[in-house]
Amino acid sequence: MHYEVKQGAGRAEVALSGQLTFTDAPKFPQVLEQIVSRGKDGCDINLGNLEFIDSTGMSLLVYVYDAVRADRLDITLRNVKGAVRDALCRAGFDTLFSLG
Amino acid sequence: MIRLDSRHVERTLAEAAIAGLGPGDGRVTVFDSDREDDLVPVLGAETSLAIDVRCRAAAAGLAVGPGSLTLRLTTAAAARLDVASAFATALSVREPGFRAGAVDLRIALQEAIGNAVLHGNLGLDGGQRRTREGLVAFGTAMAARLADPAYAALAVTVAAEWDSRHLVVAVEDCGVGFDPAQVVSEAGTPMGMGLAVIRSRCGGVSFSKGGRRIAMAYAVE
Repeated sequence: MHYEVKQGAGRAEVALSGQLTFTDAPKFPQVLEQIVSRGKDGCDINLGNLEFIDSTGMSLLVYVYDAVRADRLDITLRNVKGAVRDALCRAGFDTLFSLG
Repeated sequence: MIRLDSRHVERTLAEAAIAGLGPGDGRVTVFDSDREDDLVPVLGAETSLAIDVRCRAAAAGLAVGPGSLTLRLTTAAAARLDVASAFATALSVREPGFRAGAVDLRIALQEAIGNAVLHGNLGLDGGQRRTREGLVAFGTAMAARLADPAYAALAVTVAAEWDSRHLVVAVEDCGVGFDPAQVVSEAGTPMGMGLAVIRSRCGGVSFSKGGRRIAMAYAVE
């Protein structure tokens, strides 16, 4: 998984690409830290270039959700498509997030 | 008759790797996972068994035969390489009647291999990740154990057997095992999600060897 976290107008703008899998678990704390530190008003995650996600990868989204929502901020997932959209919907993530 | 494919490693290493292999019929490919970035060539159409020379006791307990495909590789390699995609692709090549199920298999295999690596051979407790501090500790321990040969060289074995109507794919690790009945999915959390995904992506799941082996059943059309 490749990731990029930018700060834009108070919100963390996150782009995840490649495959988000159990292999990436050691990166999760630093990804989470960057999102929390740059997302004072919320977080937007672009999954347009994410090809595949497994359950460990989905857990990163849960951690981000919990961290952002704990501060009563909103989080959106953008460009969710194909196999990634199917996996997230099957896991019930469409009840946590609006899948744009 | 066993035919040895040693194109990927030195011949003497390949012959040593298959010592202890039982009698059988098929091609055995020996490879070095440190030299491979893609398992698709290793699992070429003629291969029945692919063994990573870096595995401890590489060929122990393995057999070669028609209607089967087995891959044994190190934990470190299973964490680095896209095993699930390569194996699902290899099965689709060998059994065209299975192509419709290849996507589901890839997803289920990904989860099973992840469990074999993280919880089986690396011995990591998924429950540790309930807190931010636990998430950090989990990631640190994972990286450390993947760099430790005592863990990294442990074998992960993916094995498929099929006939004209059925396909069973199993993943086995060298860990201490577990009781699948104790794994409960918790809504809104990652806990137990992997097994839930597996169950939703195959026709049936069974466990053996104290939980160290999971078998997933599919239909061949």
